[in-house]
Formats: sequence, structure tokens, C-alpha cells
Amino acid sequence: MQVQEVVSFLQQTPPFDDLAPHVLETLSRDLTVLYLAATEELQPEPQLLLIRSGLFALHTEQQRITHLQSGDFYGYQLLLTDLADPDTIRCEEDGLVYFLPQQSFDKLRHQYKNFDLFFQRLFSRRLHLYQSSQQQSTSTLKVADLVTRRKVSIDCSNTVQQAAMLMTEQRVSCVLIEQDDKLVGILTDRDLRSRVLAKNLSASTSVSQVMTKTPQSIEIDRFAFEAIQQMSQHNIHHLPVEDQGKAVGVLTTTDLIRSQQEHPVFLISHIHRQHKAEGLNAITSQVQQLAIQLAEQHIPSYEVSSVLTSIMDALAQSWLQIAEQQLGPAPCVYSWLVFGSQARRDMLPSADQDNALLLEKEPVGAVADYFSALSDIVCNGLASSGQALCDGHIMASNPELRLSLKGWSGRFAKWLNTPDPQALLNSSIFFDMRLVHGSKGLFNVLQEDVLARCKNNELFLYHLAKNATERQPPLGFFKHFLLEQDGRQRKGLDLKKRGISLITDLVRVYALSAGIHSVNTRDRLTILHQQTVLTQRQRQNLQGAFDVLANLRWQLQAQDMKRGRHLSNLLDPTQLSLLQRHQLKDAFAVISDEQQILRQRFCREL
Amino acid sequence: MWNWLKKPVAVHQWVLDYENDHQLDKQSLASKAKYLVLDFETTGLDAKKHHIVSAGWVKISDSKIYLNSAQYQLVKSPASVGQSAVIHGLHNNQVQQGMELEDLLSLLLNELKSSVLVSHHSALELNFLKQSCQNCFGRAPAFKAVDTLKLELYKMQLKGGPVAQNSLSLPACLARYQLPEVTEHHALSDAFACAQLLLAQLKTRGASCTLADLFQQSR
Repeated sequence: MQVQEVVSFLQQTPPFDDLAPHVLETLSRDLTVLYLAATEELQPEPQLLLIRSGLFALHTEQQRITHLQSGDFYGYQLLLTDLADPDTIRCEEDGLVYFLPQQSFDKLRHQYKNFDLFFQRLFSRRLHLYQSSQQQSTSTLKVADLVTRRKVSIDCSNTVQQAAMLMTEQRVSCVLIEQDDKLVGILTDRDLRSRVLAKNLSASTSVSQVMTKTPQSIEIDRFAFEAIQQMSQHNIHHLPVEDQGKAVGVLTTTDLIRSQQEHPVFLISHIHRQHKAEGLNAITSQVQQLAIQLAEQHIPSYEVSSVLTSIMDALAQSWLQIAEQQLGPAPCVYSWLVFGSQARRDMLPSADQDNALLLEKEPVGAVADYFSALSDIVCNGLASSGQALCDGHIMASNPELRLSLKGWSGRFAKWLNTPDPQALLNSSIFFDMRLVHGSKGLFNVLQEDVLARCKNNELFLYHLAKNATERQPPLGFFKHFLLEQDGRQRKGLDLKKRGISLITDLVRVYALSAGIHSVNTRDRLTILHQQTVLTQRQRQNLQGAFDVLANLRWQLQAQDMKRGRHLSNLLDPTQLSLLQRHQLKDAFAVISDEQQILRQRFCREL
Repeated sequence: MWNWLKKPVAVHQWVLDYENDHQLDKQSLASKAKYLVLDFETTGLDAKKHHIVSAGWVKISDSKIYLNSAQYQLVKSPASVGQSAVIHGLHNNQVQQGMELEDLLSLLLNELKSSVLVSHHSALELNFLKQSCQNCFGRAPAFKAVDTLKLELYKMQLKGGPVAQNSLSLPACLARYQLPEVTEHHALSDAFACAQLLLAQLKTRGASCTLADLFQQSR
């Protein structure tokens, strides 16, 4: 006979809450119950330990690592790996613990996949991220899902006739041109028509003479919508696909049309087809619709953000084209830059504009006038398309943010050399920058310049790290949530200010110290791990915490959107399931730990 | 009608076995001992007039509750459960599906051979046990029990001051140790709660506490 009180507790405790009542009833009989008084220590045993009540502390060599309380587990490391934990558990407040023997634990792991997954993740400290399989996204396609891995290529020393014969034989509409195994060009049906036949060139003309040199290409692990974006932006129908720098096939427009109709890619190509302002004004409602749709499909937030960012990028590109049509060609080369969340590809529908112009020439006279007009058209245009104007005037329409390379370089140098509060605030916005349109060369020079200034700049990194750890996650001493109020008098947890931003700030310090070009937080983490700046565990912890917070915020805002409410970052923790509360507390604990590590690395006395 | 003539010899053996085997070393440590924590639901408080309707128990060994030892039995009652159904929620039709009282007693006597009997307000369980054994087997062993209520009273008196009414009820004691509360009068739930209370009480008594001390404080 089972004890109902124990079964009821298991029913509320992940991952047991997923198991059927009769399974829990049988399972409950395998448990033993122990009572511990404060200051007592628990001896490690090959059993799974589940805290029923009281407060326990996990120690390693006299240092408290974390608190364990009702619903927390311990001992799974020994059960999963046969490696004993170096930690000890000390009771701080009297309480009850349940023990589950190894045999029962193993049986459950074999029978229930989610149960196994839960503890595997717990063990790897990847937080309690487990999902039922049907929730996995199906609609966010990758290039790899669409492209056929079939490379039709020819060496650049061949003639156009040989190329045409190969294309006919292979029944393809384009051929890749290679030299020493490297992609150097592309030749399409249309090229043969317009560049060879129409120009009356002979069949023995070399392919290298008529091919499109250094063609656009995309890595196979990118999203399909990125490919569409690239293709519509450059008005091409064939996009070579590369896997680690080696061509593996070609993605064609036909491949893409075969993919789903309601996919975001179609919205992006729709944006690129608009050459008049009226067409773009109507986009707002579609973006909102799309966002709600993505929310309903349980797409992970980073993918949603990526989609939204691509749409906003496409909007900026289209408005720039419209502006150039109106004003005539630009008097000099320029780069359209975005900052903050758009640069990091972290955007949510509520994000406003953060953009600027980098100019080849000093903005004086006619040059200044031209770009002033261009910025007004684009910024106001973006606002009419749904991307709100920036309250802090971090926009290209602000003359302070239309600078030459020299101007920008000097601006960054000033922030780096005198890290006052305003400079540090600026660094959290401006140091995450990305090129959306215009000259890549110009942008690269600026980025290299900034990164070179940051690297080994101990004073700046000291202040940046200090600033990044000033705000702490809202977790009290006993692992309870600390609530705060927003301007609208609602109480809750600010997921952005006290969560997501803390992680991006923290990761930025490492990224700048290591001279990393990427600004996306996930990418930064991956590279930081590759460069062994962060351990695998740190990377996973931060990544996991970031995903938990971003997903929660995304759910929150999707609900607000559906109900037509003001989009908020404030979460009411009583609305969370027990599992979500677990995840959230874990995420906050990770941030606390990582802030401490960051301080130790960068904030030692100079 | 002549059944009682045939049975006594065979059944009596349970009592004899218990008396032979139930040897407790009273000087052994309380934290290392084996316990059987028992709770009865009855039709009333008077063992002479009322009957046991259900029994629940769970065993403790080495200061750990083993949930695989948890047992819950309904007992066939010769009389109606009457108004007591209001308290324990068991009705005549359920009770009539239970086991015979004799079978329950033989089961319990066997289980108790190696364990110390524990309950909250043990006078009730002891009285019903003795009376039932007397009725069924013609003889009742000299049962002894550790009483978690008395253990609690002992500690409170040591501290001095008045003992408030109701402060010794099982829910009140559980609350004092911040143990999970019991919501229903269910023999097994109550026995399990009582077992958790005993674990907590053992912690307050130090490592040197013996069984003899517990019996002393249960008087």
C-alpha cells in the first residue's frame, strides 16, 4: 500500500510529475525516508536523494555552492557516472529527505525517456531544459534541409561549350567554377544566353571570362530565410552552399518555393520586392501576425528573434534602396550599422531602432546634406513600417551618429580611455554592432580598430566587468524571488533588466577581451569556448540560462501581443509551473555564479 | 458455532510465539532500533465496546522509514461503523470487504516480534490490541509501546511552563517540527506521519538515547 502523502508530493515534483499515478504508487514503495537536523552532514550513498522539506547546503571544500530545498535532487552524479561527488551536503534547517535506490532509478531511466533526459541535463548542469518531442520546431528550416548535396562543378580552365555540355548532361541550370578545389565563380543558363550567345562569343571562350566571379555563397548550417534574404537582396536565383568553406551544392529559388508557403522567408522576399514606400507601410501588421504565429508553433525564442531580426534587416535594406532612388546615388561609400539587440540578432517585436551611418568621407557640405536626407527617409520609413523611433536618439537621423571612420574611431577611443558611467552605458549599446547594408570593407576597418583597442585594455575591461556585475539577478538568500515594480505599478521579475541583459553584458566583456568579431550572444559563447576562454560547462550554463530567460520573455510578450496589451518584460512568478520556477531559479543562480567568476577575472586590484 | 473449540490451540500459538521471540535489548540505542509505527481507526474509544475498522503501519530501521513496509488493512467489523464513519470515512460496505480480525492480529504479532511498537497516544492502540487478542486468542501478551505523544509531553515539561490544550495532537506536533501535515484520518497516513514525528523526536534526544529511555518517557 502506498502512502498518499508521498505520492502527492511526487505528483508535483518534476520529472516525476510526468509519470502515471500507478507508476508513482509503485515507485513510492521503493523510497526510504530520513529526517535530518541542522548541522548534520549526509554521507554519500548510491541513491537518488530528493529533498522533501527543510534547507540543505551543498559544500565543496568549505565553500557553499548552492542551497537545496523541497523538490531538489542530489546524488544523480554518482548514479549516472559512478563518480563520487566531491561535495558534501549539510543540513541548515531540519527537514525530510527521500532516497530512491539505484535499481529503481535505473529502471525509470530506461522506461521513461524524459526522466532520463531530466537527470542527464541536471548532471551536465544544462538546467532542467526538457521538452516533449512534439514541441520541437518544424517550421524553421535550415539550408541543409532544402539543398541537395550534389555538386556540379568544372575547372576554370574549361571552355563554355564544355560547361554547357556538362550542364545538359547533369540536367542543371548552373555550374560551379572551381580552381584548385576552391569556388571562384558560377555560370548559369542565363549567363550562357546573355553573356555568350547574345555577345556572339565563340564556344571555345574560357568559362573564367564569362562567369560571375566570387559569387555570393552561404554556409549549409544557416537558416533558409537567410538564404532567401541574400538571394533577394542581390537578385540572384542560384546560391552556392558551402560546408566549412568547401562548396557542396547550389540552392535555387525553386528549392525555396517548395518549402512552406507561410514561412517567414516569403515575408522577407515580399519586403525586398517592394520598391515603393506604400508597400512597406503595410508590413507592420504582417510582422505582428507572423510573431504570434511563431509563438503558437513553440519556436524557441532565439529562432524567433533571428527571424524578426532578418525581417527588420530586410526592411532597412529596402528603405535604403527607396531613399537612394529618391535622392540619387550616394556621394560616397557608406555602411548602415545597427546596434544593440538588432546587432545581436536578439530582437523582439517591442525593440526600437538603434542605427547609425559610417561614411567614407567626412560629413560636410553636400555629403552631410545627402546623408541627413537619407537618414530621415530611412528612420521615418522604419517607424512607419513598425520599428519605433529610439527614445535615446540612437539613430542615423541624429547628426552625432553620422560619422566618418575617423570620427567613429575617435568616438570609441574616447569611451575606451575615459570609462565614465555614460561611456559604459554607451559601450553596452555601441560595442554590439553589425553591418546591415553598404560597404563591408569600411565596416571591417572600424570593427578591427575597435577590437584592437579593447583587447588588453585592462582599465576599460575592469570598468566594463564592474558595470556588468553591478546589477544582480533577483534571487534572495534562500533562493526565493525578489520582486520589483515597473512604471505601471505591477510587481514581478524583470526578465530583461535582471536576467537577459546581465548575460549579454557578461558575455560582451569576455568577447571584447578576446577580440571576437561576432556580436550574437550564442555565437560569442561558442567562440569563447573554442578559444578556451570559457569552459564547456560555463558555456552550457550560460547558454541554458539565456535560453530559459529568453523563452520565458518571449512567451510573456507573445501573450501580451495576442491580447493587444503593452509588451512587458515583467514576469509574475506565480504564473509559472513548478518546472519553470526551477528553471528560472537555476538560470538566476548561473548568472550569480558567472558574475562572481567575471569579477575575479577582470576586477582584481589593478 | 463450534469453531472456537477447534481454533484456540492453533491460534494461541501466535501469542506464544510472540512471547517467546519478542526479546528487546532495552539498552540498545534508540537510533539503531527497529520500530513498527501503528495506527488504528476504530468505531469508538472504548476497546470493550468498539471495534477496529482499519489498521495502517510502517516500519523504521536505523532511523529510516522503509515505505515498502507500509501496510494498510481494512478489518471486518461485527457491528456497524455507525457515526465513526464521519471521522475515518470508512463505510460498512468497505469494511465488510476487509480481513478477519484474527488474521490482522496474527499478522501484527508476527511483525511485532522483532520491532518496538510505536503510536501517537498509544493507550488506544494498546487497549484495542490487548482486548482483541483476549477476545480472539483467549490471552493477550504484555504489549509495551513508545508513545510519541508522551515523548512530546516529556520534552515540553522539561522546558517548563503550561502545556496548552491540543498542543499534543498529532497535527500540532507535526507542525512544531515543520513536518508535512496530515489532512485525513487514514490509518496509514497517520502512521506515516507518526513515524516522521518519531524520527524528528529521536534527533532531539541525542545519540546516546536508549530504548529504555524512550519507554521511560512514554509512561
